Amino acid sequence: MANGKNPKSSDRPIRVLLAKPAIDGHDRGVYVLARAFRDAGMEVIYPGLLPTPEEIIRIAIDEDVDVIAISLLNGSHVTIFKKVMELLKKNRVQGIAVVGGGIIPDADKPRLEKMGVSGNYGPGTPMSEIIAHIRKRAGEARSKRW
Amino acid sequence: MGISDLMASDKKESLSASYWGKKAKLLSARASKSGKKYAEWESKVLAPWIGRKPPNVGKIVYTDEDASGIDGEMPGVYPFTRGIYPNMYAGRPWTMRMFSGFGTPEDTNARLKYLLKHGETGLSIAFDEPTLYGVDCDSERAEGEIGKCGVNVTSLKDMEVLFDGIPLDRVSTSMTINAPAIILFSMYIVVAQKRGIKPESLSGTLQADILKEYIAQKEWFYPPEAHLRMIKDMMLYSVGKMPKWNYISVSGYHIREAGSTAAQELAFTLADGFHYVDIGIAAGLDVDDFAPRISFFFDSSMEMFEEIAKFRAARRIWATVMKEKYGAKNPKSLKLRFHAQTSGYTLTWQQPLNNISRTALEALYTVLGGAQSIHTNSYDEALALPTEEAAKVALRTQQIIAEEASVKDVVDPLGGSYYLESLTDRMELEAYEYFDRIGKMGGVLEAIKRGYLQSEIANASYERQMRLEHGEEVMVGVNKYREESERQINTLKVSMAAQRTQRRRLAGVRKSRSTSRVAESLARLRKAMVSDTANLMPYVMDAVSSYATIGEIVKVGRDVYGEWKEPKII
Amino acid sequence: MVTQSNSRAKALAEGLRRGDRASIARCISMAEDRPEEFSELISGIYDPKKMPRVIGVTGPPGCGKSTLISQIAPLLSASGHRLGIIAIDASSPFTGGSFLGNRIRMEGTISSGDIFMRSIATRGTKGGLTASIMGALITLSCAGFDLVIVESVGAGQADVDILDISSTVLLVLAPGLGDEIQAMKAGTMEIADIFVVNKADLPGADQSKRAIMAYLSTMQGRTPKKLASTSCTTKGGIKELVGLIKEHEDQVDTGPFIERAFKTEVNRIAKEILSKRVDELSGNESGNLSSMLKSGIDPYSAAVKLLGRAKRL
Repeated sequence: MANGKNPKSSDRPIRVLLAKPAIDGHDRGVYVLARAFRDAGMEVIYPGLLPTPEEIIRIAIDEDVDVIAISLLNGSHVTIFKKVMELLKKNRVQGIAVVGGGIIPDADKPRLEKMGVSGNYGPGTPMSEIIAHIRKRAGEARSKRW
Repeated sequence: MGISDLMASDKKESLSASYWGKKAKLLSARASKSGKKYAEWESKVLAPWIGRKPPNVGKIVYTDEDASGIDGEMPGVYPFTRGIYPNMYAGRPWTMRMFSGFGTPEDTNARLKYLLKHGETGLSIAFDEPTLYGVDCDSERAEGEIGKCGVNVTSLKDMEVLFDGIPLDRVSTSMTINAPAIILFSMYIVVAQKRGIKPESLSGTLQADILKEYIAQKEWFYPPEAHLRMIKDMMLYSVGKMPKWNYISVSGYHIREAGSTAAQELAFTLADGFHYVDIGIAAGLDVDDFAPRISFFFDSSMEMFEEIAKFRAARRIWATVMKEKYGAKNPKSLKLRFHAQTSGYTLTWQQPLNNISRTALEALYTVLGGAQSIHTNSYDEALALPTEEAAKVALRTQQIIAEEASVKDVVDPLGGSYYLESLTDRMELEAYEYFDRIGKMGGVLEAIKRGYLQSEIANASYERQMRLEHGEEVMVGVNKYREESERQINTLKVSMAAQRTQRRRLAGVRKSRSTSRVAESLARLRKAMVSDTANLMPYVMDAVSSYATIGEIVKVGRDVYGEWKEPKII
Repeated sequence: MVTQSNSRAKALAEGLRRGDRASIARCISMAEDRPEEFSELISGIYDPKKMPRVIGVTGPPGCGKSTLISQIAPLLSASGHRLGIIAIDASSPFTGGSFLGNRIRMEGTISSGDIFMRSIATRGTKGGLTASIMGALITLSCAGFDLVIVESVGAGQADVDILDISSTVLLVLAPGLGDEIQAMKAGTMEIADIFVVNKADLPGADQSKRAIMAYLSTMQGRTPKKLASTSCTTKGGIKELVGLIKEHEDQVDTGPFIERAFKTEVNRIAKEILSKRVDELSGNESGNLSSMLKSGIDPYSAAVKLLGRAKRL
């Protein structure tokens, strides 16, 4: 039942919005993730560099994604994640999970978790671990959305 | 006329494309030598020794069959494979140039002075992302990013503070300023002028190579043509007025850090370099007037021989092409000078002290490869910008190599090694093959627009990542020799105070400057941008002098030139 | 269960009529996944009179389709159309995954106003479109969209299905790639209403145009085709192209278009449903094929027998 051929909603390929909202063009990591997610059977929506938190929310809604995966390398993670989570709430979006990664100091992780941003993987995390996490969060999100 | 005739005539290769093709063919013929000696040794000596047929994974020893040899090649002599100066470090050690910048201009000013005090011999400034993307520090978009990855500069005022008390006529300054290059370069000149220092006595380097931004680092404001015009303007200005200024440092570092192979770094960087030569020639300059001031910037990663071969091949290719294709006569036009930086990608966030060893090795390769100046990364840079202590260890690493390791006394000490020479040849060939492919595509700009170079890099980077995932490549502490609980190290925290300071200063600038003077200078700049012929330098200098902000200047450019979106590459 | 899906379909339909973006997005997902309540939803919202006009955009990879759409979309939207964009990308036949990157070039120009854009993966459908396209168009029509740009996969060869749903087909070509030759070979030249030589600022553009004109002169007895040249770098030719599109839209008779779209889509959807059913039946569902194998029946008769069982959809 691969290839999204099964009509059951739980078998629909996971849709992930991969975004890099900081003012930062170092996209080596997101392209590796994009390919790894695709090769894991996901539909990866990539909007290009520097989307604003507002744009991320709009795209996530229009594309009906299960997960927003955000990569941040430049130390602006707390500010940006806070904004994204606030906007999700403001737009009354339910059933879209937010997963983070990049250069995120251990000290900031509890704060992000509390906001609802999970994962928060650093460099060197095995891809399989990240993918498993996305699958888990997507499943939870979907059951809320459908 | 038939359609196929039309199409056939369109397939004509341009002259320059065929130069690359011919070179590639020539070098490939050189590479296909017999291999009799190795085969004989393999079957008579190696196989009995290991007790089976050796696996087919490449040679494990190199002989005179593998390398063209560098018979007769000497340092300081064309094609400069062995070094651009006859005596290299025996005459003068490399410049220790530590890339630094964080927080407010005051913070960075103090760090620069600290490094100079500890024996650094040249400055290198890192700017933060809002500055590099042309976003004013008081914009909402800059929230949380000010001073995080470099120093924040929004107006001339910041630049004045940044270089306060630093003798601009005596130190050489390198600035990594890609997209806003023309703005920050203008600010630097204006700050010097205000202190009575003329442009001609300034020395330094601009990392203003915009092509590699489209290829790798992805910082730009406008479509490539607009930025390339600004590079041309900076080139023309510097060639006329600033004899000690390297107006462009053609950079492979970011290409490599974006995930390319060493050969791709070499090929794409030189292809960019040749494009800048084409720009200079198209602007009506004589190649020998502007080529001597083009410099380069390469990465140094972990694989020792590949890196050293890359540096050597770069020199050989540059000299050869400048002479053969561009007809350069001035020996300075043929000499590829380069700055090298140890690889940030190879630094690990796990067990960060291991990074000191990695940086030391990578720095050693750049010395063995003949770099003119070197930056060594700090061990904590996978986590944050370096602390003062970490930056000092990095500088000391260079000093240890220079003072204790006895690698300065002999020029190109590995030259003649069968393996290294063979690798140098192979790198050279791979580069020409890429030049040929790029040429057939219509040149480097078109290759960028089609996303060809970007997708080559993304492919290489993905393959590397998969090798790491499968343990076929090792990063110590990451996918082997892992530790469960690691000791935390201290890292630099840039507090939100930097943002407040910068915003306060900018508010003051906005209040005290003459609004009409700003508006007039920006209107003049707009007119110059619309005209194809004006040199933008004086107009940008005028605008920054009026304390127009970086964001205001970039907005004028965006109105005139529009924006640019990267092509889809996978 | 029935009542739950019933009320959900109702709520979604209401959301669509309000133009609620999340409802539109969810309905398009349902057109892709076709859960049970989808048939209920679609029969409730389908109105043949409201079906949007479709501008189909096709062309080989690298010709600049997305950039071109990003340039024409704001102009079409500003001229009074409620505009939707559907960009289709291929799914990997091996993993089912897909990289949907058309927004890279479109964000910025499409984010303002009330343009709705959606990326859709083919999920195994060949021919450049997806089986969900009709559902997406019906969804958009219910939400008040009267014009939809559909960007096909653009894999070249078999990318001709776009013709079935479009009132105007744009074939985008870039000079110097030999695109024209490829398109002629693949038969895609024939489906185009407007040829667009994009990147007209590049050398070789005039030659490409001449090649297309030469080709057009050999075609007889068809609707006149038009040629435009555009450059997204200089913005040249964009307004003219939009003019040509409007001109063609005014001329084209929508009657046969709607009939053709209906017929081909019903055919496509039926095939897909049947094909999925066959997949299920020949899978492990009830050991169908294994028992047939044991019985010694020949493969042809087995296939007919299987199809007999497929009647229960």
